[in-house]
Amino acid sequence: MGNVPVTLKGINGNVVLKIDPNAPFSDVISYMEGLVLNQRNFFSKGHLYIDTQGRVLSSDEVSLIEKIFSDIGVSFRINNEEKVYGAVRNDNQNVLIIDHTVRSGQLISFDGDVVILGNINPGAEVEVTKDLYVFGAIKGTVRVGRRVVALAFQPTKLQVNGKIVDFQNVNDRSRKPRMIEVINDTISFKTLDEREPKSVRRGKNG
Amino acid sequence: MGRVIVVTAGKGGVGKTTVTANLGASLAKLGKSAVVMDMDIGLRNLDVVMGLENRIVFNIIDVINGKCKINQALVRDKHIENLFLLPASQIHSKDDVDVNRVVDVVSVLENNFDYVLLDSPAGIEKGFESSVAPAKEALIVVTPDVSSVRDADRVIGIVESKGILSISLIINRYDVNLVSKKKALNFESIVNILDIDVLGVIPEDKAIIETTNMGEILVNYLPGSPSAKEFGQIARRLEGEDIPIQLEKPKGFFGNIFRRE
Repeated sequence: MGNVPVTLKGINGNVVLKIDPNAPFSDVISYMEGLVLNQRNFFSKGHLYIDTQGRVLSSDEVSLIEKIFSDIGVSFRINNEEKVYGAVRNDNQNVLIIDHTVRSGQLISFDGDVVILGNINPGAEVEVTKDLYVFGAIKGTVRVGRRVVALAFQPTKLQVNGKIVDFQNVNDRSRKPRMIEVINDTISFKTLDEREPKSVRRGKNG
Repeated sequence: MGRVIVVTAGKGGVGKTTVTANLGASLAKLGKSAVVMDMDIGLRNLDVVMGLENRIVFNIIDVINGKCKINQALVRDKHIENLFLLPASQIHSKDDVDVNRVVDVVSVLENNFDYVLLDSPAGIEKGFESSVAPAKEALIVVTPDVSSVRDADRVIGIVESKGILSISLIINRYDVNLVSKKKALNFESIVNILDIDVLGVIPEDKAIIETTNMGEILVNYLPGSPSAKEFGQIARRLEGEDIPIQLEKPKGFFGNIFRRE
C-alpha cells in the first residue's frame, strides 16, 4: 500500500475506493478532496464502492465523505451495505415509459416523469407529479405537476400544477404539438411545430 | 387445436350476436368446423337468430353441472353441416356460471373444432369475464357511434389486461352515406381512437335485420347481399388471406335514383 491513504481499483466493473485502515482520517479526507479536484470528470455522476478494509467510520466521518462526493453528483456505498450515500443516482430517476395507448378506464398515477408512446384516449386518466411527454394526442383527463408535452391536445380536462388549463381560450387550433408548463406560477403555452401531425397509429401486429 | 375467439363490444345492440352467427357460418362455408357459444346466460339470443330455438335440448349450464355431455348439448345448424351452437340457459343468471368450468368446456371444444366463437353479453361484468377468460383472441364489434367507440376502447383495455394480445376490430352498420355527410364517425377516426387492426367493415344492410328476424343466417339465406360478402371476406381474413378492406362509395344523387329498389 505504501503511504497512500486511499487507493482506487476497478473490481467487476465497479469503481472501488479502498481506504487504508491505519491512515489518520484527516489524511484520507484531504486525499479524497485532491482526487475529486484533479479527476472531476472521472468521478462525475458516477457510483463508487468504498471499502474501509475493516475501519469503522463514524457518522461524522461518513457525512464528511458524503459532502465531498455529493458536490459533483457522485453516489457511493460503504462496504456493500444497502444504503446509498451522496447524490441521487441518475438511473434511479423516476421515469415510467408506457409503450401503448392509454385506454378509457385506465388510470396511470406516477410519482415522477411519464413518457407515453401512444394516445391518451377519452375516459383515461393520467396523473404525474412532474413531467408528462405524450407521443400522440391527449384526449382524456390529465393532471401534471410541472410540464406536459404532446403532439395534439384535445383533453377532456387538463390540470397543470393544480390549475385547470382552458382550451376554449386558446385561439389557434389545438391539434398541434405543444408544451404547456408552469413558470413562476403562471401557465405558459409554447407551440413546438407549425406542421399539423396525425395522432399515432400502431402498425399491424404492433 | 382450434382457435378460440371472443366476440365482444361493451355496448349492447351493436351486433355481437349477428356477427357471431354470420362469421361462424362463413367459416363453416369455407370448410372449417365451427361452434358458436352463447355466453349471454339468462338473455340468450343466438339460438333465435340462427332459428335453432326449438332444437335445444341441453345447454351450457347442463354441461357445466354434468347433466349431459358436451356433444349432447351441441345443436347442428339447419343448413350448414359443420356449424354447431352451444346454447345458453335462459333460466339461470350469469352469476351461476363458474368461470373455470367454462374454460374446461371450451378446452374440450377447441380440441374438436377449428373455431370456437364466444358470443359475449353486453357490459363488462361477470358474463363478459366468463366469455373472455377462455378466449385466446378477441374480436371487437363497434358501430360508427361515439358511445360504441368509447365502450370498445374500455373493453379493449380490459381484454388486453387479461393477456389477450390478438385483438381485431369489426366495424358494423357502416353507412357510407351517413359518413359522407359527416353524420357518423368515419373509418379513419374510429381506427385512430381504437388503434387496433381492422378485420372488416360491414355495411349497413336491411337484409341483416330481415334475415335475423326470420331466424335465418344472412350469409346462408342471402349470400349475394353486400354484408354477406363482407362476412365471407372477414372469414377469409381470419384464415390468414390478405384481402384489402374496401369501403363502399357513397351514392350520389343519380345513384339514389337508379339504384332504388
